[in-house]
Amino acid sequence: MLLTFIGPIRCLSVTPDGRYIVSGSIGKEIKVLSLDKKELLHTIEDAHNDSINSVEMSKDGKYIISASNDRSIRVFDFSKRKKVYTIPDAHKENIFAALVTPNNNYIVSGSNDNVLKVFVNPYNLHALTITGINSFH
Amino acid sequence: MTSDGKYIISGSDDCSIKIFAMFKWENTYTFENIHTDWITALALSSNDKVLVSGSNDRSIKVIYLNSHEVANHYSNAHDSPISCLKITPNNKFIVSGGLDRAIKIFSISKKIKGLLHTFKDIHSGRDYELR
Repeated sequence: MLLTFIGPIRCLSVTPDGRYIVSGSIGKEIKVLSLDKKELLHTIEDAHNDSINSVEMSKDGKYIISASNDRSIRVFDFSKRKKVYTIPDAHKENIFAALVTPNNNYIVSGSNDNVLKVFVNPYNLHALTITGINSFH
Repeated sequence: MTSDGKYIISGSDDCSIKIFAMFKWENTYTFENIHTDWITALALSSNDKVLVSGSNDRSIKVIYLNSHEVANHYSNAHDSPISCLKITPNNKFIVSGGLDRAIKIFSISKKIKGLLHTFKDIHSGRDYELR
């Protein structure tokens, strides 16, 4: 074991309209910064239960999709800054990436468990439950 | 991945960036030793023309994909390794995050002043971890 310098900022994304930066941290928080005003606008505290490794915007700019060491993928409403969906135990290990496909239909995620998963995005197809529809080992 | 779905671009701890052609599964181009330490972040402009890379060597490089030339670089972009970066949708700016707790905005083009803004100490959280 080595004491490694990690720094709190893990990931960031720019909204499709180019007006905001969304960033995720080891401190479990998501921040929204204004690119125009150059100021911090909002903090979503305890967005996850562990380090956030990935924050990505949906192509319509309505949702933030985040992935974490807590093994969940979460969906936040960008304008309300509220969590609207959690995929608990999406993977068996730390999740390092979760992206929305350009058509907004699916969320694709990758993890230390060596599995790539595809989930139906409920905020496009209005499905009530998300299930891993496919896994690539 | 380029937006036409034809190429995969990967950055590595061997300091190189490689371009692979989808379905042909060929390495079509390699940027050798583009950085002096691990490449930690890559971002592609929405028009697939510009690639931006960030590294543990603290630098950011702007690469033109059609000529393979480094068009711009920021040698000490952060006071620490760079953990993440993106290009804004208008393809004019780079937004980068570093282990130094800063989020910075840089110009892609050399024509505009380089560092445009620094958000300092934006995030809380521990700086060290046992690994």
